[in-house]
Amino acid sequence: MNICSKVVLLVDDSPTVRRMLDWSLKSLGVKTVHAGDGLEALELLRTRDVDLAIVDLNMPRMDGIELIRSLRGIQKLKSLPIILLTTEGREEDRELAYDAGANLFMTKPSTPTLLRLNASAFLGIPDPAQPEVGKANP
Amino acid sequence: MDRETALRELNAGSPDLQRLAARVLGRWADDEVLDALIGALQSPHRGIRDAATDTLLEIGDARTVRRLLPLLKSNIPAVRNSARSLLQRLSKAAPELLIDLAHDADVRMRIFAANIMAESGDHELSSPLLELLDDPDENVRDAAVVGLGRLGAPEAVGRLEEIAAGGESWTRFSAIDALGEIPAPEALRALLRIVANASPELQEPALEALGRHRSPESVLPLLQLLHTTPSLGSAVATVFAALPAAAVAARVPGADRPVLAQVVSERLRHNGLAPGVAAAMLDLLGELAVRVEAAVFLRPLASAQRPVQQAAIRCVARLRLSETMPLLRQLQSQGDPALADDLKEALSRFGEPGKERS
Repeated sequence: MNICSKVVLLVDDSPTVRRMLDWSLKSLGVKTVHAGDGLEALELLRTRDVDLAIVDLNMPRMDGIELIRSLRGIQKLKSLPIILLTTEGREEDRELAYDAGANLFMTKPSTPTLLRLNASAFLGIPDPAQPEVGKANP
Repeated sequence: MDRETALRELNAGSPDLQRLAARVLGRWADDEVLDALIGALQSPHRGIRDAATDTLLEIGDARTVRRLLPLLKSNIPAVRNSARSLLQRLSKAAPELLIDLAHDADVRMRIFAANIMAESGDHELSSPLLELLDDPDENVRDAAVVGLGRLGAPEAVGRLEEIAAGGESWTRFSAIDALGEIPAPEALRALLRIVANASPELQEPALEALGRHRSPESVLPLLQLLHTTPSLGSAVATVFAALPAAAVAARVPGADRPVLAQVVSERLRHNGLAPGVAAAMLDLLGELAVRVEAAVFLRPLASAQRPVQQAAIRCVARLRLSETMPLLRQLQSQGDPALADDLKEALSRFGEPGKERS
């Protein structure tokens, strides 16, 4: 496994989902930090720098939309890439997410491969699980 | 503030007064008050929503549950989430309404039902969650899998093991993870079977789930796994680190001790171990009483974490690794009182009672 210096913030009230995201991103060699809801994420971001946030929509205390709005109001986080990952695929949620400042709205079930591809694109690092262009299928 | 004033202020007062009114209304739990408080959950002000939530938690009953359910369909995520949080905590007031929700035609409502049951802590709800494992929607099934883990439902072990054996990797992961949450011997045994048979990508999550059981019963099967799949050494060492070192060592046959000591040593050489895990691995090495290369201890002895340093000092003393004496002396010269006793004890084991003699 490659080790890189990128840090990904995982925000979800379900520990299982956070562990699953950890597992999905493992081959990227990124470090992950976890928060159980939006307020916890905001608290964590006061002291930690991260390179990408993957955020759930439905969470107690502060949901994903409110969190993204708050993050976009913080100067140093205005351009932080944010993926909103949710089981809710309704159009109004998608619009809310993009209006709030999400970079990508992904609905579950999303394969770990797709999530890893999107994360690696935002992080600007290669996904070692994917064959390099030109080397695959000779 | 009387009831009428509180109702008026809740609807039209300043945010501070609305918050106060939401709390005061807890003295009256009639239908009109409940409706007003439910309405306040849709306020754009978090403080007002929180005050209404606190009051509804105090006076909530089946009528409240019935009024909260429609809010799960709100277009505003904050409203949906307030309702979900309240329903999780009021679920015992009307479990039959949650069971009805699990049969709603709307997939999102069935997911909410599974989420709410999962966090209710009410074991009685494991039965409707089991039924949701047959839902046509994958997200509902996944939410039910997670929920059965959260409820720690041993009756779900057989189904979860089946799910872990096939299907999408995402759902398989959830089933494995759920088995790690169920504190029952059958869940442990299922995980041991899964670890042995799962595809390589799912073996590590299965080991991680097994580690959460913290059961010495896993020691021998995992030692077997080390022989067949050495690449899992790091994950196995992490599982063992979650167990009392003496309990692990007592179960490791003499012939396997060098193998395990080697695996643990390898893991200790790498960065990224949490201090507690590193200290536990050092304790395990000490208990195994197998000499390993002194170089393994260079990083732990120089760690900025006192518990790691202390465990390393104890371990090298126990293994009588005299090659580490110069390092121990150097540490002793730094005079850290937190390490003094362990260093004195370690150096005395090497026949050097410590600086107090010099």
